[in-house]
This record gives sequence, structure tokens and C-alpha cells, in this order.
Amino acid sequence: MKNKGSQSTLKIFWAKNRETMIGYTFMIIVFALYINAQINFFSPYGIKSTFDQLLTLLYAGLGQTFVVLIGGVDLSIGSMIALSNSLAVVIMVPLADYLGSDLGGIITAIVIVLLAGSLAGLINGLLVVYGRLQPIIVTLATSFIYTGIGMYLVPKPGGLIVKGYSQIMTGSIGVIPKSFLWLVIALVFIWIPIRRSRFGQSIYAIGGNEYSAFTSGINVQKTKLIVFMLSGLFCAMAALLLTSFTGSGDPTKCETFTLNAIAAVVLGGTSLAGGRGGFVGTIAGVIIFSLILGLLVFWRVPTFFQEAVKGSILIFALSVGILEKIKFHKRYYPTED
Amino acid sequence: MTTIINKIKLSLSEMYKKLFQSPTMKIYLLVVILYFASCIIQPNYFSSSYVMSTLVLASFLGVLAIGQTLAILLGGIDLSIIVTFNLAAVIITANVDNQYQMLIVFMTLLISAVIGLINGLGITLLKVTPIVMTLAMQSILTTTLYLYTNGMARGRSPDWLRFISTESIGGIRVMFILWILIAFLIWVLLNRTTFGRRLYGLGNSPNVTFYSGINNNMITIIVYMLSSICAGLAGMLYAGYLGHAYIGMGLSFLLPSIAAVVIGGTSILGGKGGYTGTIPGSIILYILIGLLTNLNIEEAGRKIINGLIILIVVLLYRKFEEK
Repeated sequence: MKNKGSQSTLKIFWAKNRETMIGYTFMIIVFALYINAQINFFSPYGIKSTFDQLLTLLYAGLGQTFVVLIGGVDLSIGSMIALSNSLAVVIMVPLADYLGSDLGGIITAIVIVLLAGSLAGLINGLLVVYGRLQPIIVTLATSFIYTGIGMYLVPKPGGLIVKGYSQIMTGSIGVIPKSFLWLVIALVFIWIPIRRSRFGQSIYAIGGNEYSAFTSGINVQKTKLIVFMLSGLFCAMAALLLTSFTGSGDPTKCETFTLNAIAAVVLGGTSLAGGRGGFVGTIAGVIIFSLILGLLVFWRVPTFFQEAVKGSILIFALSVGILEKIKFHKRYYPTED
Repeated sequence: MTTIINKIKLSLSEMYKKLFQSPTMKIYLLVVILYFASCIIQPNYFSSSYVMSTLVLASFLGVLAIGQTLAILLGGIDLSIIVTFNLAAVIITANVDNQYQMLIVFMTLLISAVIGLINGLGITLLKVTPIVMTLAMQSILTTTLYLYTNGMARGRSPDWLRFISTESIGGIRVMFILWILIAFLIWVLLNRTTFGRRLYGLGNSPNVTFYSGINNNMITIIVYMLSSICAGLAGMLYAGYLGHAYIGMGLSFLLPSIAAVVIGGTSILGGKGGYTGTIPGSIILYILIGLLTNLNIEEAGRKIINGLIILIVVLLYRKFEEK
């Protein structure tokens, strides 16, 4: 009894998640190469350090996924991370001193940073929705502003964190690395609930066809606002994790996150036109990215080759997805842009 | 008699309306206003040497932004221009001792064209979105750059190049004259050729142009090739200005190139605007940068103000459009 209605569930699944599956295929290939190369991968340290690296990009990718799903691009991801990162290293120790407790300082700092990130995202959203501007332009401009604020807070790389902070954010609980837990949180407690909610459905509807979504009664403005705010929130989250790894603030180093996040989202099969894909794919994209880096180091490939590899993978991944489409019917008709 | 005078008055006022109410004119007006405003803040700006040097600095961004303008007019974007820029600069400085300078220039432009060709092919044949394609090319080219220079850019700019970028003829800087010439060519291309018309059409609606029998792919490929050629040209000229090249010299130009295009009134969705706006856009950016540096505002403040300016300008455009 495989056929339910006119199409089997397998076919429907494939049609909806084609690109994500391609992303995961890639990931498995890279994973296999990685395990093959790193003999000590399955040691606790191997797994832990792998997950640690990809956490910041993971949350950055989560934010970017939301924005891309509604058909836009967030160029201020790296800047919001820079802003939150700088804020964290500037306020954490003074807060701890003021409150007289390390833990209190940490928690307050976390709350403040998350709020700040959400605010930054909200500003992006307000400009897009009420200023009626394209997300790419708004986030381009705000990326300047947020990086500038970050640089103002931390002119030279530095800053302080409270001693227990890294332990709380990362480290391990028994055998399970905390970073793996953060991944689970992102997927199970953030993405899946949102995806299944009306809000999530609205996002996909807007990405598919904004006008249709509007005429269907979806509150496009509110949804967009929330999407951008979430992007800022997750950037703040990414920054908090970054701070726990690096222990300091460096606004200038955060620029790479923006383009890497876009790359990870795209690799994971989410379409830049919006409406297709999701965070599940982005996870694959992030893993591919991080593992490739590890692989290149292991194969002793010179560092500057990483860039070329990243680029080639991007082109390859996208063209594979597109070649499939061309095969079927769009050969003689231009795709609507 | 009075009717003739009235007619003259009418046609003059029509001319006035057309000239001064066109959006591009407003931007040029903005440049002038900004300049005088900065003169108030910094009285020593009121000199021809300052004006000239700002115009020359803006010209490098201006030439670079030609490509970006064309790509954005199509509804796309070119993120790889900065590395093409860097690559060209590096090639021309590394071969300073070669006696066939013309050949080197030709080769550099040819390489730039090939880069643009690859971009165009990826976007049209492989149907990869411009953001991703040019982003990927940027990564690949960065590696190529490192390979070519072995990590460090060597050499210095040839004398003839330095002449173009830094000297003056009759009180006007050669670079500026060159920029105006190139700008004129681009204006002709966009406004007086069939190619230009088709470009705008393609930016406005790919479907309509396709059904009109126009080869969309060809136009796209040519646009991205032009974009990379201009980037290479700009790279060479900038290397002439600096006297040498270095890895990363293009990085600070990427966002300003997009900003200059947007401030100049070109819509990011494509089809509207043109290079006549990008010119004052670049100049405005450089007046601001110069002013802010001079006021000793640190880099952080400069970045913030840069971003705010872009936002304000774009918001104002939106308001005008909706009227």
C-alpha cells in the first residue's frame, strides 16, 4: 500500500527535499573522507573539537536560513556576531563584579547580549518592512553600523570573560560534548517547533510567493519582522558560543561568518529565491564546511587552497541541483527571477 | 512678441524641470551641497588640489563600480570584482621589468575578461545565482592570487602607469580625465546602443526580453565580462596610484562599490538607474571618507556613519519613488 492518493509519500518527500538530500549526500561523502583520515575521530576529543568548531557557524546559519527562506539575504550576520561578541567581553566582568557573583554576571551578560542581538535584528526588520527596502541593501548598510559599534566597544582584540564562562557554555557532560547538545537544541527545540508552527508555514509561504501569501491572509509584515529579529537573536547566540571558545572579542574577524553562513545555507539546499529548504539542510552545509577544513589540514594542503575548495564546492553543489531541473522541462523557458 | 517670449519662457521652464527634477541631477546637487558643507567644516577643503585629489580617489572606485553597476542593472551582483582588481594589480606590478608592457596590459585585461566569462557562464548555463557564483569565484580567485604571488606581492608599478594615476595635465589629473572618458563610453553603451536597451530590458523583465527574441544569456555573459574587465582596469590604475600592489587591496572596495551604485539611484532589483548615478555616488562616498578621516573620527565611527548614510539615502529614494 505504498500509494497514498496519486503520489507515494517517498516521491513527495523527494520532491520537497531534493536539494537537501543532495546536501546530505555531500556531507556523507565528506564525513567518510574525514573519518578515513582522522583515525582518532571517534575519540571524545575528536568529536568534541569537531563540534566546537562548527557551533558558531551553525547558529549563524540558523539565522541566515530564516532570512533566506523568506527570499532575502542577511549580509549583517557577521556584524551582528561581532557586535554581540564585543558586547559580551565588555560587560561580562563588570557585571560580575557589580553583582558580586560570577554566575550572576554570566547570566545577566547572556541575557543582555541576546536582547541586543534581537534588537539589531529587529532594526533590520523594521527597515525592510516599514522602510520598504530590499533586505540585501538594509543588511549591507547595517553591517557597517553594527561592525562599527563592535569596533567602538572593542578597538583592539581583547576583552575579558568571567572564568567559569567557557566551562558552562562548552565542555562536556559526561561523554556527550555540550556542543553536540547545542546542536540538538538548535534542531529539536528551535527549528522543528518553528517549522511546524503557523509562523513557520508563513515563512515558507512568503518565500514561495509573497503576494499569494499576503492575499491568503498571512501577516507578512509581522512574520518578516520576527524573522529578522530571530536572525539577530541567533547571531547573538553564535557570538556567545564564539566568546566561550576564543575568550576574547575581535570584531574584525567576524566578517567571514556572513559569507560562510550564506555558503552553508546554499550548500544545504535552501534556495536563495526562498520557500525551499530549511535548517536541516543548513546543518549539512555547516558540517561540510567545517569538515573540509579539517580534511585539508590533515592532507597538508596549504591554507590558501581552502578558499578555492570552498568556491568550487559551492558551484558544484548548485549546478548539480540545477542540472536536474534542466533535465525535466525548463530547458526552453526562462526561469522567473 | 509676448507670445514668443512666453514660448521661450515655457520651453526654458520645461528644460529646467527636466534637468533639475531628474533624480540623477539631484544626486549631483547632493555632491555639490556635501562639498560645500564639508568646506564649512574644513575650510582648507576649498582648494582645487583637494577637489582634484578627492575626484581622483573616487575615480578608482568609480571605474571599479562600472562593473557593479552593470551587474546590478541586470538584477544580479558581482562579488568577485575585488579579487579581479587585486589580481590585475599584482600582475601588472610583478611584470614591471618586462619590455612588452602593452602585451602585459592586454594579457591582464584578457585574464579579467576570462574571469568574467566564467562568471557569466556559471550564471547562465549552470544557472547558479549571481551572489553564489561570484562569491565562489571570489574564493577560487583568492587562491589563484596566493598561488601567483606565493603569498607576497612583489614588484612595483611601471612608470607609465604611475604617470596616468598620479600626474596632471594642464592642472587636471590624468586619472580624472580617463575616468570621464570611460564614463562617457559607458553612458553611450547604456543609453545609445541596442545593447544598452536590451540590458535594461533584461534587468526589468527576463521573460519579456526572452520572448522578444533576445539572447538573454549573451547579454548576461557580456555584462559580467565587462564587469571583470573594468575591475581589472581599476586594479591596474590603483596599483599605479599606490606604486605597488598588495594582497587584500581590494577588500575595502567591495561594499563601497555596491554603496556607490545604490546611492547613485540604481535599483538593486535591476532595470532602473545607470552609471550616471554611480559617478556622484562614488564621489559622495569619498567626500565623506575624507571628511570623517580628517575630523579624526576613528574607524569605528566612520563605519557607523558610512552605514547610516547609505540607509538614509536609500530611504529617501524610497520616499521619492512612492510619491
